Amino acid sequence: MKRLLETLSFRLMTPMTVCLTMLLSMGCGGGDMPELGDVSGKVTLDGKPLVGINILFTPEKGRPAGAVTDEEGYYELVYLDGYSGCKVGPAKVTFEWSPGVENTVPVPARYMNDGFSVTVKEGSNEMDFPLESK
Amino acid sequence: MVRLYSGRQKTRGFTLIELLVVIAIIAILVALLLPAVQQAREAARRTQCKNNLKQIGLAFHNYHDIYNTFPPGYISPIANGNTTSEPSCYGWGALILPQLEQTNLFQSLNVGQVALHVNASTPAGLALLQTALPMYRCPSDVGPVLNNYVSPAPAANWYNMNMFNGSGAVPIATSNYILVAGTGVSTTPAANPSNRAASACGPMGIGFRNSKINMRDITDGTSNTLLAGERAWKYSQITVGAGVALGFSASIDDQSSSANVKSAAMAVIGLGYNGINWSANNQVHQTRGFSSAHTGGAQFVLCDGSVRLISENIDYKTTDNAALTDMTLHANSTLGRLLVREDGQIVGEF
Repeated sequence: MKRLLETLSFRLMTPMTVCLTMLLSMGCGGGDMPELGDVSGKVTLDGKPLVGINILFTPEKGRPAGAVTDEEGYYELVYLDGYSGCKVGPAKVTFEWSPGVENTVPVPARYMNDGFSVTVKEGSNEMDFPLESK
Repeated sequence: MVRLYSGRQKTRGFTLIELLVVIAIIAILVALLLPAVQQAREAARRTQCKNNLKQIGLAFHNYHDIYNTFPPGYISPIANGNTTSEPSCYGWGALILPQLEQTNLFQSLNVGQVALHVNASTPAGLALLQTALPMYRCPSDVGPVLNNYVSPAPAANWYNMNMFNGSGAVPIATSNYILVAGTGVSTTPAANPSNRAASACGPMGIGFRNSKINMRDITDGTSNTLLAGERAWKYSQITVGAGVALGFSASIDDQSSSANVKSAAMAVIGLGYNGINWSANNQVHQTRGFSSAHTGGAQFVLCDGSVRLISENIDYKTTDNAALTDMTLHANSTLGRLLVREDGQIVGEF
């Protein structure tokens, strides 16, 4: 019995090593996807929800993430289709109306161009943006 | 002493367990390999797409050898800001047909002599415009041969890939390759090249309205400037409508209305928009940008003729900021610097 086990382990050594190497090497190469943190919250203007405005998070270096607010002013950032969130680290937050969507609510230009500076952390982030028209 | 033929002597052979283990290993290997076959198909399509872009790059260089300029993004015979319709705007794709071994099509269409919408109004001319152009199609793309894309609400009819031939809308051959007009999200500069500095970023790429970009004008260097890239018919779940190669119609040149020349021109040229494969919001206006059915990014041909896959994770910032009057400030990201031909900044790794 002991003999059998010895033979088995010796003979199987090579194929098992090959197999293991292949499995390990297949798992690698996940691309250049950065670390993301989920971001959601509410956008209001003078206390009232801003509906249908584009919110854009631009990291210092990397791909921006964005979302459009729903009927109640809520947004949930999308990085890529199927990936929610924003690149972890400092980001600049700006707002814009879509062309074609009428700018029915005047939002001050300072929010459109300069916006806010925030830091996105790992995990989930709750960020509300109370804008003021004055 | 001689125990060669002893019945007790074990001869070398495989036990049942060893055999089973070997079979199991083979099964695992096959299971690993099968998905790889599908990957190989996509890899082949990606390579074919790369080749198409390479041919476009070479055609541009040959065109430059003949005319000492790159072809215009599109030709608009009517003065800018005119409110009459512009039914006949030939695109760069029609102008480089002779350099892509399509001289017959070029001569039959009589590009430059016969207006595009006049061609579209005759059955023979329409048949020519509807000729499938495999050298302008990415093999991974699922779009139809004839491009009938019309953008839905909330930007209904902003992007209409159909030709207007006087009596109605007719679709012509789809293309997946569009010329780089510049960075930023605004379509205005590409349609109005004089709108260069102030509020918009100016046409800082290779192709726009009646453009005549010489190699000399690409001061960043041809290896650091993108020439043309991909736009998918559909990526993920978003339909953006690809483009058309030969040209487009605009119902009106007034730049504030829908189906005007500046949004219609997005059929042949493209902008950085919000980044490659943008999908986060505002899903209608992706038709301005670059996108691809391939995984991980979109392929571009550079002005030197090399073809690269640009990752969708590349550093990018939108430049729709009226306060930025210095043109180089608009090229404030890696992708932006690649899209702009004369920003004077170092691109770095990409």
